[in-house]
Amino acid sequence: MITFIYYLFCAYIVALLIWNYVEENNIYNEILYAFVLMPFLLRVFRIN
Amino acid sequence: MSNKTIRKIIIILFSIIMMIVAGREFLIRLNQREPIVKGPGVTTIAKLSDYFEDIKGTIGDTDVYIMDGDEEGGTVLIISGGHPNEISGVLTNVLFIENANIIKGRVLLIPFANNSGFTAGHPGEAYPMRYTINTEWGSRWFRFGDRWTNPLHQWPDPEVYVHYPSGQSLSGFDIRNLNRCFPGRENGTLTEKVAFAITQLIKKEKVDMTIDLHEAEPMYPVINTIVAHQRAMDIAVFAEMNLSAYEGIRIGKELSPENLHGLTHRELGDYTDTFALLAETCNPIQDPCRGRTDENLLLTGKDDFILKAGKLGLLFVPFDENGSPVDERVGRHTSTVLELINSFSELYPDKEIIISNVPRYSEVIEKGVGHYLLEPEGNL
Repeated sequence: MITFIYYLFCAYIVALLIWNYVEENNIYNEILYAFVLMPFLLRVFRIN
Repeated sequence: MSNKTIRKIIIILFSIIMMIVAGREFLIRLNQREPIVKGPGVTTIAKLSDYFEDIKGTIGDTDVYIMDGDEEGGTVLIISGGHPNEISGVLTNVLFIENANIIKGRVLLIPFANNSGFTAGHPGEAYPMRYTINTEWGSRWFRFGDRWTNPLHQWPDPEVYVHYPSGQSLSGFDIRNLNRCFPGRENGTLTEKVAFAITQLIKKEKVDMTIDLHEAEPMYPVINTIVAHQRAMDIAVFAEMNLSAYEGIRIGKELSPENLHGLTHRELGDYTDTFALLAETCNPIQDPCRGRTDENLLLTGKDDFILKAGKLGLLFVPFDENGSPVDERVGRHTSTVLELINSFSELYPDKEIIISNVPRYSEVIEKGVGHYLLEPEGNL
């Protein structure tokens, strides 16, 4: 159960990061969001 | 399309490419399996789940190689890969699987006991994903894993791990350490279930003696030694004397502490009728004071920092410029296993086990581990 909640939480963070990436106007923040997104996406896909 | 949109597409594409590159490596690590050749002595390849169905279809399930002799005798179980970063035990088991002929008795082998641990490296330790052993016909590769079960398969760790059934408190992450989870728990975590399955195997197959193969870092006192449950101490003493007298192998013997729980040499001896023993060799890649961590260190065991530590008297094994090569470590294990089996057979002649065609210490050092690895069919 706790693992399921953990993955839901990861997916929520992925959604937030994508939303922020789309809304962002500053290029440095865009790069930051794009890079931070990677490990969370890999975790949601259960690859790492 | 605006410049801003084009920029966002380029950045996210670059990020996705990096994710694919990294993800591909992680996926390979999760799914790769080294080829093991079914040697002439192997009669059956069973699964650990045959002894405890709950782990069927999980990453905890693993192969059990069964070698039946021509004559009836005793049964020995050789476990390796309980700690997947301790490679000499795995290679020793593979040498047995691919070379041994069983004349009398039965030999059961579990080369990758903690199968989940082979799918991960330890974060921050720069562990190589695999290592390669050169042979006369080419090379064979093997996975190099973590000491603990992959957290992808068992998560989260508690603050304090309370061992079942003793109630002893251990570090939280040791709930993923197979050699702290014996005798295991039927409804426990994945690692506890794997330990439970091995305990069930020992009971169902009426295993007379269990030998668990490990390695330790040079700064750790339990190294180059045999650890024995109190019922198995006679076997360890005879083996130690013979290894020293006939092969010049200096090896210690230690009594399994009664109050240190979760380990094979304690719990399997307490909860089953088997004689439980554990053997250790020296693996410098595990030492915290090591230098560059790569395949070369794993196989040669040469390290300037550990050499310096040795000169300062900080090590528990002799260590010089020659390091601790894998051939020497595997040779120690093959001779130790053979000598433990010989000692058991002398002490319990009605349960004699006779094995042939397994190289001993001097032969493995002279010809190398690769000499005894068979060529698998198909692509490596």
